[in-house]
Amino acid sequence: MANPKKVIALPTTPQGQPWEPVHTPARFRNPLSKYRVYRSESKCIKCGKCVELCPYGVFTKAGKYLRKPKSYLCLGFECQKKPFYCVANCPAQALRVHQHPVYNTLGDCRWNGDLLLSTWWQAEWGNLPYTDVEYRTGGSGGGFDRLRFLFPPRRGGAKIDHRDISLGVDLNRRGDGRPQIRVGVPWYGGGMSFGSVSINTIISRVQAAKNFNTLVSTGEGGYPEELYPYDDHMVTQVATGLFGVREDTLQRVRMIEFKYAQGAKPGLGGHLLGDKVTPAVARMRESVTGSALFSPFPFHSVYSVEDHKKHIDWMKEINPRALISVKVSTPTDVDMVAVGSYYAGAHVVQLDGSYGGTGAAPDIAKKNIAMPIEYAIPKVHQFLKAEGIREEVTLVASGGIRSAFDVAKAIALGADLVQIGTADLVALECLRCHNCESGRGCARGIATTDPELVDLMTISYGAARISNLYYAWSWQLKEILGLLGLRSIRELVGRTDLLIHLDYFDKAVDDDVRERA
Amino acid sequence: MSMEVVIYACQQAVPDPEALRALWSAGEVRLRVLPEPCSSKVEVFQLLRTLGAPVDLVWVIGCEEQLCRFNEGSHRAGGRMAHTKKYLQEIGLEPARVGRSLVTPGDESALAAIVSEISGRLKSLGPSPLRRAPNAGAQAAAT
Amino acid sequence: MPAKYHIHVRQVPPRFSPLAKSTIIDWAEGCLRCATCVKEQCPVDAYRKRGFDRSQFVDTIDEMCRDCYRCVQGCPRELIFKAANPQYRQMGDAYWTPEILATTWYQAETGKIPVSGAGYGGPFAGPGFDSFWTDMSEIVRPTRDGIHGREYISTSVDLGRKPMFLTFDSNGELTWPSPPLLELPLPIILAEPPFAASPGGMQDIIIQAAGNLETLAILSRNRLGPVPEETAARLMPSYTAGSLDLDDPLLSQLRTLEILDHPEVLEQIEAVKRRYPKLIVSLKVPADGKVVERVAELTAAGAEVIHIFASEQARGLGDSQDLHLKDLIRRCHLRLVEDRLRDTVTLLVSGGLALAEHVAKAIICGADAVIVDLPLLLALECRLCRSCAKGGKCPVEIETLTVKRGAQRVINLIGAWNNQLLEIMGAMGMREVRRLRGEVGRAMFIEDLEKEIFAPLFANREVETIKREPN
Repeated sequence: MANPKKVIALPTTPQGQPWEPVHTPARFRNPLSKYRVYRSESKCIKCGKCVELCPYGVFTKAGKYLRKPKSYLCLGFECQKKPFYCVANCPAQALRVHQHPVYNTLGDCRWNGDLLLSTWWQAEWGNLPYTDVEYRTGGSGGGFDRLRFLFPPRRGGAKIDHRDISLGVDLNRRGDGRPQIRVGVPWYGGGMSFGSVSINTIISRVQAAKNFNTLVSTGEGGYPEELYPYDDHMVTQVATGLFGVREDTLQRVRMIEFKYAQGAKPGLGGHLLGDKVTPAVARMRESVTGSALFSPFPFHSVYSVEDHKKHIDWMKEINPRALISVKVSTPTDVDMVAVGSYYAGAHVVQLDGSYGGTGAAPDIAKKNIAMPIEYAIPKVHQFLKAEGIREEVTLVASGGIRSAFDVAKAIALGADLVQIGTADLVALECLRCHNCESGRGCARGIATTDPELVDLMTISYGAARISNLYYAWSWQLKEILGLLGLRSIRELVGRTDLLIHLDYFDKAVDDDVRERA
Repeated sequence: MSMEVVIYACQQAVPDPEALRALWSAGEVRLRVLPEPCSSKVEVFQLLRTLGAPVDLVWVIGCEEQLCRFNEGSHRAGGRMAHTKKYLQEIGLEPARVGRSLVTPGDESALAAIVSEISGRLKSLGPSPLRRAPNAGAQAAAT
Repeated sequence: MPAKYHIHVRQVPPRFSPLAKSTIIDWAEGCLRCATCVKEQCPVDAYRKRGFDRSQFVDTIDEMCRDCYRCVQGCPRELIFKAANPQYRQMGDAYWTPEILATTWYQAETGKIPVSGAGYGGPFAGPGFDSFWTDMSEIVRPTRDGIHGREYISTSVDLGRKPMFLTFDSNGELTWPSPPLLELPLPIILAEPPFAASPGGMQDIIIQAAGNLETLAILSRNRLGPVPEETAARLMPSYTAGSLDLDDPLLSQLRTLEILDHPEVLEQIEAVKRRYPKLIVSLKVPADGKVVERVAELTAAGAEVIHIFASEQARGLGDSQDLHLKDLIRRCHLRLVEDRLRDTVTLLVSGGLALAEHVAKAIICGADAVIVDLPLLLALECRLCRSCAKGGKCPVEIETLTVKRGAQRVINLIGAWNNQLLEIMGAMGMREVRRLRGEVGRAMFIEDLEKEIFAPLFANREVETIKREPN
């Protein structure tokens, strides 16, 4: 359970003030890195020349003593050309810069070492790394990783000032008299239930959402009391197991999310291992401590589109001010599902692609069932347009959105905004070992309810790291929009003409937005 | 009695373990080449337990110290080798049953020399005494 | 409704330490002896429990390590590293990857479906079976709960010739005897792998596992020893061209057998059928350039069961090496549909079926059932070093494995695979694997998605030739 004392020192922004990055270093002593700077203790004469030369702060001194080099700040091999390159300048030849042997073990195809390192960097500093670590794409070899923005030449028209660019998105486009929700950034947090992740993780995410005026979904695990102060930033989820769903929690929030399916395990139910059902989790879910919990698939009360509408009407009745979101996966007929959900009365239709997800899921389902989100977005976007209802529904994409560039690409493919999950966890220094569900849960204290492990992370650290990441993402989105000559994220929706796909494009293209030195 | 040699080979020093195996001609002696990320992966207890398996000769191939990908790996492996030899002396087993070579990564001609050194060493040592009393030997080496 | 088919899995621990993807490099010398060492804080206590596997000469710490990197990131002197394990990487080959080996070992040990958190980590798509996704049913279609089983999903398939119609005489009796049919409770047949350290032991393991799973064991007749009567019903002996002796006493005990295709095979089947009318004969046809024609021809001539076999890498044979098994199955299936004969014959496929999803995907492409061989060897902890094929020693001593233990590992693997088949069918809302056959409409092929969605957006587009200024 959360220790209430920890909530006191929350990094927060005064109402209406934008978040400014707060330097929030790694929780672990040795940050992982692409390059390693090695100083031979036996050769070093402690002259301090490296401390003077390195502009990146790799070397620091404490009195006469030279501290261990901070490898993760090193520019890497690019530095060889610089006049201040430490290795060339060291009078005792005590220094070496080389690729860190651990780098090759980091990550997987989707979130490769570079994407992890660059996301950690953004979460620490709130800006983009100056090294050659790739921050836009992973290494999956398809989908977002083969799409690029085609920026017009920078020369000519002056770049639009970031202050004149809007990232806000309205979620209610039905004009049905229900309140509007305007989120400040084109993303919100996907559902991760209390039980699957720690309360510190949940509150960190909600706090960051508050800082950027957006939302977070509770996932299917109830609505812990610790979240009551954040009611206006919560989306509560109603999923097939109905765990923790109560009238009063439905009435607290501004948006209710119906989870019909989730991308990581499309067509399959959820499963919380018995180990994770601690007394607090069991109380929240009204179940028994230590007993595994299964969510069925599908809703056993929905077998027709009429049942679906009945469900939505029922929610609207319970909470007359809430918007309704319908979260579905990506089958062959995902376009029909989206249209059906609109006619049943949903404000938001969320497509959850097959490659994302944070919770435990069978490997076979993650890899094989349902289509990747990159195909589903344009399919649904075009179908809704043809149906003449695209302007009345808010289309959310999720399931594999890893970077600010993924956000922009998803929107250019036709989404209004996206939902993210794993990126938040990576900001908290998840390294995607995929062992969230084994034994006591996450050994890094993110996706666990084990009290000893939960204590590895404080909320102030978590909220600042996620907020820094959001800051860096906002900056990148504004930079992308500015370079494209757009003043609002709304203008990017469906602009596939601004994208190219490397399979169909044979010229070199570079959509790096950093001002390189 | 058939003998066995185990070579722990740093993958940078020996990028192609198959080439090393191909150099081995003593058909009656079994050779195992285990690629390792660095010669410093192999710890003292591992060297001792390998001898206790029993194996007649254990060899570690690493990179020249200044070329080690882990910087200090090769250097540390050297220290471990010395420590292991000292320990073997104490328990009364020939220290020559463990050995180490340093190569420039990718230098295949060096490998041929190493193989001939290993076979020469094996010839002069003969089968491990632990083969005669495997249990006692294994226990001694396992400590 | 028949009794629910259930596979009894039981944990069978490995005899050899499974090689891990990455390995810990621990430089204990130079240690500062901190009061609370990171090694003591290991969440799985790997540093205390580590041992030595003396048959493989590996430190067992890596099989316990859960990759949290807390020791790597915590040691004040940076004395601990993780590095990619070259011994893991060198296992198998480009098709039978170390990841396939590792997941097969896990399933053979536990009988469980591999589950992990944090989304999918693999490539966007790949060749062959990785180039399409299966469908799921959303909201309004009735669906099934696969494994947790409130609704029954049948995985039964039939082997044999199915008549297109029946005729009855004036007494209401069939005018001709209905052809023999063999029902298997799961669409997976076990077969002898092309090599094994102990071929005899491997056969015994496969026979025992097939008996337990109530499926068939395909074994080479040449290598088959004396067969007790009770196991004969589980056998599908495989005969090379011309090796079938009609006086073989085994034939009268069998329910089915397999003959390699050859020019006079139809006459041979006729001879077998004349003497043993209850015997179902499967024809083993290579997946070469003529396979579609040959399958159509044999089916038209009355073949009951056809086994199409591809290479170990799921590629066609001979002049169709460039084609993947999935495409060859689709072509054969479609041809039979066009000929209006598809339902008369049973198509079995083999070659390169390595993962649970390959079963479902081969069936979606048009197979009735699949034949699995190499994964059965992997279930026994095989490292796929192929040393045994060259007469060398088996590093995991398969020759010393007991039949009982080996068979249970095979049962565990197939149990896990069958449950994964249920997951895929449950997600699609399907009740019967018979109906999955040829259901390409319930799959999404990357070439179709590209053609329908991405190509109109990105192909042949007039992109202004804009050059970005170097910055």
